Amino acid sequence: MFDDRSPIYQQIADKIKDDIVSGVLQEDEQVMSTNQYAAFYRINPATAAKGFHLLTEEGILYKKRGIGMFVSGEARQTLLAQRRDRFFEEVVDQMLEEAVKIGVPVTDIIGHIEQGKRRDGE
Amino acid sequence: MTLSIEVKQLQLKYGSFTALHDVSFQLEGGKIYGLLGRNGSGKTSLLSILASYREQSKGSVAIGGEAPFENAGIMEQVCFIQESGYMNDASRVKDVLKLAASCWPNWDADYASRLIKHYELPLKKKVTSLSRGMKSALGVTLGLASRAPITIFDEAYLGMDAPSRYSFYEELLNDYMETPRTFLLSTHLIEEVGTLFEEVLILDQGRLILHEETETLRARGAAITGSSESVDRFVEGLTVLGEQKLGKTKSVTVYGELTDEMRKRAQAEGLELGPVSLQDLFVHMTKKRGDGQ
Amino acid sequence: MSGKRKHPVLNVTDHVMYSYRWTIIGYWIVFLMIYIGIGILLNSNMIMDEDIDKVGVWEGASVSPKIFLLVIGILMTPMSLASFVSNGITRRHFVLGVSVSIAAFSAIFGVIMTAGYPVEQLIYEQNNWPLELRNPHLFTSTSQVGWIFFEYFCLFFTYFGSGWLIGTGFYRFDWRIGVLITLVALLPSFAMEVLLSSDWMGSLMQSVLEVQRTPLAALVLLALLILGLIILMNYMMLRRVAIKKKTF
Repeated sequence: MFDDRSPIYQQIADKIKDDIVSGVLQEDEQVMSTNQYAAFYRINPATAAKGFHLLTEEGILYKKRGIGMFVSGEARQTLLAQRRDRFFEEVVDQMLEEAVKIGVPVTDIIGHIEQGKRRDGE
Repeated sequence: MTLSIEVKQLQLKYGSFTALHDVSFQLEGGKIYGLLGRNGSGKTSLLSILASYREQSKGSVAIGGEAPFENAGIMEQVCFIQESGYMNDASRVKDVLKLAASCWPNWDADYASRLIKHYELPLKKKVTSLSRGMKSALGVTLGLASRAPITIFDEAYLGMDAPSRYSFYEELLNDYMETPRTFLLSTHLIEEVGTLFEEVLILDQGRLILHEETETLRARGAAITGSSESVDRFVEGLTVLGEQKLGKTKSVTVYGELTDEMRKRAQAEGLELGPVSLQDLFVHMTKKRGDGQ
Repeated sequence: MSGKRKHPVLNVTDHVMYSYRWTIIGYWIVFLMIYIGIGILLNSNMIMDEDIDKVGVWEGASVSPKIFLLVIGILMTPMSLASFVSNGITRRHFVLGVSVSIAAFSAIFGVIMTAGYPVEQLIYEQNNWPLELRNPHLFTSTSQVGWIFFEYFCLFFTYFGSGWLIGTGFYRFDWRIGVLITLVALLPSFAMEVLLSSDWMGSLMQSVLEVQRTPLAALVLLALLILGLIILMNYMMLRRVAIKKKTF
């Protein structure tokens, strides 16, 4: 469930984000309540609430008073944009760094990727 | 109803042995608190004072602003359950429940019967003849059904097997969400219950060494791994909880907020920053010098 | 939530009396059977011994219930204090609740003892056995129901109370001081016996030592004082006591 290492509210926020990106949670769809989250994952409701708070601050969720939390209209787009930005920084840059460290030329990498693409295309 | 708990410079002596040194903290109430500490760290002593089982040697306790000891209005709001319990062993389970029902102002009889059924408590048996797990289950039932505004479980659930323990955690959480009150749980099974706590207090050798929101605590621990020199340079000025060495590689557990700037510096120096579990933090913080590495 | 709750003192009394109900009922059944047996044996000439007076046996019957209550008293604090405090009852309410229980038990026992006299009289009259009070009492005739009751009530209360003090002493202190307390704890019972000068103690006081009985008004006052003192001494020992896990 949770890895007991990084803050759990962060992990909850990340899970919800994943669900939005993958389409499990649709825009303007209601999210489970903090209590439901707490009961499901066996965590303190305040922790779940903190994760939700983080997401409302980021504009991913919005609150309807007395009803609950909903996915914002632009949530998916925002998250996708964020992930694209982070993709180069966190995945590509680090991969290149590793490649340099172990002496894999960039051309090899590009070649590998294109090969994979061709295979996918077939 | 939520009752605050305010403890100031609390000291407890048993003869010449000091069980609690100058413990001070404040709990606003209405939350689930975890009290962590090794065996003999003073957990039970502290909780006994909160529940008016004994009186402190020095310092003060205020529950809802009042001193609890021999204060009928406060004592009936604080339910303290210990693993082996203070129930009269010669009584039958039925009578133990009957006494509790007549004493706790908020006793919930329906909830009690639900728990009795759930744990399959034998009502006609005497407490002495119950297995350890059953005694624990009885304790848990008493504590939960008391619906006392402050309910304290002092490792009360350790005698239960894993499935029963987990069902207790679930029960506790559901009950807390239905009727919010203050729960105070002492434990050393941090992995299991850590996620339930909103705040954590750590006692070590009779001293309170930490009182923090659980999530903050989780965020504050970090393990820094890399070459000895750069690790040493990096952790200078940080609170080091423990260190391990493997050849030229060194791993240091630090406690404290790591700023973005520090994280960048660590990356630049080729250091690896890893998270630390609550359990590890607890172990590091309460390790005695003699315990070895 | 619950509107009407019993006062903690009465709640303690209730539970104490409830816990010992079978012990006490059982005790009286056995006790009465034995005494009826003795009375019949002594008076129906089944025992042919000239030296045994064939008179009433009931007036000497109070020794056993006194000792019985003393033992129940010893159990009181070690068996019950922890379970009451762990249910949120204060030590003060415990002491008061137990005091009310002792009064109630002593009253029940006192009523049984008092009722025994007319019953005995009836049995003896029907069989034409001689019946007389041989030892001094607060009462001189079996029709002085009030005084009979008062005498037994006070005696039972103090013996119960002495037992309670012994148990409390061992609970509060280690065994060495506990032993000393045991000696002190028996003083109220001794004092009450001397004060009331009834039964064998009465014979000793009045026939051997030739002490005059205290005037009744002062006697009642002093008796109540002893009862109050027992409660106070228990309270003094228990008011700040730490709750221990296991005592037996």
